[in-house]
Amino acid sequence: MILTGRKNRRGVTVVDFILILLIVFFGVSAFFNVLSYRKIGYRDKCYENQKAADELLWKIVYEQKKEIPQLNAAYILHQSDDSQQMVLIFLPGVGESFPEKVVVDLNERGFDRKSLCPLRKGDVDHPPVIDYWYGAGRWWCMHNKYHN
Amino acid sequence: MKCYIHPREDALYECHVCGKPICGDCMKFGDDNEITCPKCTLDPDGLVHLEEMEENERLYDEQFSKGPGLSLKQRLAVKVNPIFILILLAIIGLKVYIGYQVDKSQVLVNFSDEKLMERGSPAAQFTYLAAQVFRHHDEHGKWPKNLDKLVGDYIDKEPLILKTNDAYSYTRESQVGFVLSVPNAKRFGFLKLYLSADGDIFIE
Repeated sequence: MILTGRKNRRGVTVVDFILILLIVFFGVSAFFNVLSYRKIGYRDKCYENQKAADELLWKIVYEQKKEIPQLNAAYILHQSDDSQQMVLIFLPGVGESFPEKVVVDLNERGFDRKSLCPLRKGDVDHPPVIDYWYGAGRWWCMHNKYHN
Repeated sequence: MKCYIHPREDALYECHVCGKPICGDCMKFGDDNEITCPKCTLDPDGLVHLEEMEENERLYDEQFSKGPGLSLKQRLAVKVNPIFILILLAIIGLKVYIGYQVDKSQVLVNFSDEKLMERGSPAAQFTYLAAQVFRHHDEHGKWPKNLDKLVGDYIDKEPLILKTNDAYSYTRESQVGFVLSVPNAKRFGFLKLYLSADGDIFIE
């Protein structure tokens, strides 16, 4: 509330200064909240990748005439040339003596660049990367710490 | 130096008669065209003008900080800028809304070695460790010198083979990058279990 035009002579008051400080503080805090909000979108895409990987995993297990409890571990390799493979390791089943490794080319399966988490930083360098790994009964992402 | 009539104004001149500092508003010219203050000016209009100015100054002081009738609360109320209040409320509202949306959409499930101990297998832990080695290279541009370098940023604690006190075998090699293997893999049903830097895992 400004009573007269002569307030200008006084410049910024202490109360104004405190309000500006609060605005800056909450503004910065809200900015980081907005960044977190944007990451939700990335996480949703990561979950979609995991779901797609899980569906493919079940298909492969079925095709291999195996069962999920036999699956020891699995991971998706993404090479620097954008080729990608899913590697599955099965424990020996009934009547089998040795564990078995199955490698599936994901590009042939039409798995379009879903082996990279959208939260990862930068492109893939020369060695391959593993963003998605299956163990302990579910898929895990190396970059997304939130799993739903 | 301030004007002796308007204490908030900078003095620009000095009265030729009494020597007191005065601002531009108070500046008058005497008979000899010399700068004088209103009190020293013989012109009766100057005296009237002085009375007006003193009255204005008194009203001003009453309305602002020097006013004896204003409480601290009243003074603060005078100085609060409503635009700042609106901006602050808008930002806080935005922050609360986004915070609510963020909290609602995320469930933090931390992966830990303990979970692997409960539900995992040596091969699962082995491949998880390999994934972290790749990740280290991806983020640092080089293979870790040893697996202890992964502790903290990539794994919780020193990697020991599940349900044993044995360490994994990890060596950096110039040709193939690295080789990670499980020593004495027979105890877990494998003849061999190792992995190289091209991501190929060898099991028998």
